[in-house]
This record gives sequence, C-alpha cells and structure tokens, in this order.
Amino acid sequence: MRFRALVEAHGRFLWQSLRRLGVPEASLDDAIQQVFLVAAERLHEIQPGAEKAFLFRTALNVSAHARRRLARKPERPLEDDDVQALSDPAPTADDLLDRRYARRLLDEILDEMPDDLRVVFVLHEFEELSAPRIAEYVGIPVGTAASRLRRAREEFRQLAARKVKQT
Amino acid sequence: MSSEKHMTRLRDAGGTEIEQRLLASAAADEMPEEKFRALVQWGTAIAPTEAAPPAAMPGWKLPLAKGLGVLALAAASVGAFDYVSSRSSGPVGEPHDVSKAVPVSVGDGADRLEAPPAPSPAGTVAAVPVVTADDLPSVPVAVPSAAPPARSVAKKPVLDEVSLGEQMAFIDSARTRLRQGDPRAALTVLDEYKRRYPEPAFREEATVLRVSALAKAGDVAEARRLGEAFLSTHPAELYSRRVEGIVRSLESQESSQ
Repeated sequence: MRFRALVEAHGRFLWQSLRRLGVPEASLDDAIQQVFLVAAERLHEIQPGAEKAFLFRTALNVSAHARRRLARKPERPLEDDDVQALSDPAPTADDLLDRRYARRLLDEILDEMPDDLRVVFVLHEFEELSAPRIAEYVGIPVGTAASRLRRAREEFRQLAARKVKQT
Repeated sequence: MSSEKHMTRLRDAGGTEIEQRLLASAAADEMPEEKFRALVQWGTAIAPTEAAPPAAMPGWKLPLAKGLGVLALAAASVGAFDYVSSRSSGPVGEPHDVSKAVPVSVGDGADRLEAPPAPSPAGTVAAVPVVTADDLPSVPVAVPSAAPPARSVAKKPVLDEVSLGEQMAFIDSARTRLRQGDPRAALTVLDEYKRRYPEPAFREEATVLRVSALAKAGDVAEARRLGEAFLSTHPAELYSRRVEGIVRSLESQESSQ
C-alpha cells in the first residue's frame, strides 16, 4: 500500500520538519495529518521518487497556516521551566548546555527569520540538503536557493549573536 | 550527504560554539515512537482505497476540509486512535488551499500507483478466503486462524497493539475486496470480523464498509436499513455524512427507477 509506505517512510521527517518550520508542539499532530491528508488526496499525482519533496512542500503550506493562526493568538510566552534561565536576559554559551533552553532559543531565532530564509536554512542545517536539493524541495531555482542559503546563514548568525552573550 | 562543498553546515565546523549548541539542540526533535506508531496506524486506516468516491456521495459536507473527500472523513473518524485530534482543535489551516498551493507534476493516472489488485475470488461467498497475513501485506500482523482470542475476561478499553493490528487487517481486507469490486467478499470478511470481535475497535468503519458493500452488492434494502440505523445512533458523527450519502444515493436510484 503506497500511502502507508509514505507515512512510514516520511512520518518522522515531516514531524521534525513541521516542528522546525514553526508549528507548535501542541499542533504537530494536526499538522502532520493535514499533510498526509493532502498526500492521500493527491497520491496519484505524486511522481515516484518525488514523494518526500511533495510532502515537504505541503508541510510548508501547512506550517504557514499554523503560524498565521498562531500569530492571531499573540501569547507565545516562555514557560515556567525557563524562568531560571531567563533570570539573566542575555544568556551565555554555558546556558545553552541546557538543551531545552537552547531549543527554545533556537525557536525564537528561527521565528525571527523571514520564512523564505528559514525554510532553506532548516533544510540545509538539519536535513543536510544541498542547494540543488533545496531548490527541488521548495520549488525554486537553484541559484535562488543558494543565495537564500547564504542570506539565511548570515541572518541566523546575527540573531544568535544578538541573543546570546559572548563570553 | 550534502554536495554543497562550499557551504559547510554551521552545525559542523562552520559555526561558533554558540551557534553549534543552538543548532544541536534541535537533535532532540525526534518524533516520539508512540506517536509514530499511531500515525502509521492512522495512515493505514485512512489509506485511499475507497469503494465509493466522493463524487458519488451527494450531501457530503466536509467539516474538516472541503476538497479532501472521504479521506478527511476517515481521518476525523478513526476514533480508535488517540492520535486523531482534529475534531477537538480543528484543522491547522485550510487544506483546500494547502492542496491547491502545492505544485506537483501530474502522473499518468491513479491505477499505476495503486497496489495491483490481487486476483479476485471466484465470485461466490464460499470462495472467499478468510483473511490471512499473506492477503494483507501492508499489515504485518497475522490474523489468528484458530479460536477467537480469549481476552474477553476483562473489557479493557485500551487495545493492545496486536489486537489493533489484527482488527485493522480485517478492515483493510474488507476495503480491498470492496475496491476490487467484490462486495460479497468484503461482506464475508466483515462477517468474520464481527464474529471474532464482538466489541470491535473499528465498529463505525466496519459498519460504513458494510453499508457500502451491501449497496454495491445490490442489497439495497439492507443497505438502507443498516445505514438508517447507523444514522439514528450516530447523528453527529462524521462518518454519518458518508452513510447519509449512500442512503441518499440509494433513494435517488430508487426514485429514478
């Protein structure tokens, strides 16, 4: 069964991608279902070998909707767990040894990146995709993917430097 | 994996310690195993193998996602899986738009992509084999061939994975038979499912399949009876819309004759 194979092969990838594209954890289950529902609906249109790219592009749209919904509900506060770490508003590199805290900070940084840069950055850093593959996944020219990737890295570096105190 | 030689990942050698720690924190973004298993079960249950395409179902209103057809219904109706949470919190976005926005290259038809149907049984009920693991390659759990499982001592609402897999194998098989144009075989599988699992996890799914199979087999009166009974006890369920569609289409067929 092709659909089940899709879910098995790409479920984990999609979950991670949606998470890194800014879908809040509480909405991940819904979001991944949305992606697979679209895939199920259009299964016959997906070229063999292009399944993962199709799913990722669908995830891009789903995550954009999720984030827009989130934007309408402005509260995205840091939680109680982070209070201690946040007692110093400018964390240091040592604070980042706390993975959960670092992860939340990473979310903040990614959230501040423009969407088009975030997407290529996520694909490159976490999926280890090259510019041509990123271009395929996102549906943009290779040159555009490469230039976005360069800008994305710069953006990320600036945001990280701004948020974390250099020691 | 990357062929982008000139662009080292920040996570590797390209970044500062701070950048690397930030990026390394995403390594914990693993999908919990139980969620993955539930997702696969859900994916199996909603696999697009519908005998009755949405276009044949007048009166459908898809609260989850217009344009997603029966899959949306199925997704929102597989109540046996805790995974499905769309009903409570609503969809993430408008999947209709989502679907439209995804550029895809069009293949050369659905048939190529579907698993080739197994040879059809001879057409009689007796010729239909009871489900076996070989019949159901997509569900890696063999249906027990002996007596019904002796687990009715305690009516435990939480289904163990084996039972769920076995039950899903029946549903899968019935759906496949229906898709293959053999509603009688589907009914035989559903009968066997009912016999083995008097309190089935997929009661609604089985009933909907039965209504479809009866209608397809020409047993219109029974399809209507069962469909209307289902509607009377599940007035607000999403699956009801599908059954309602079947019943209505039967009515319109009758009135046009």
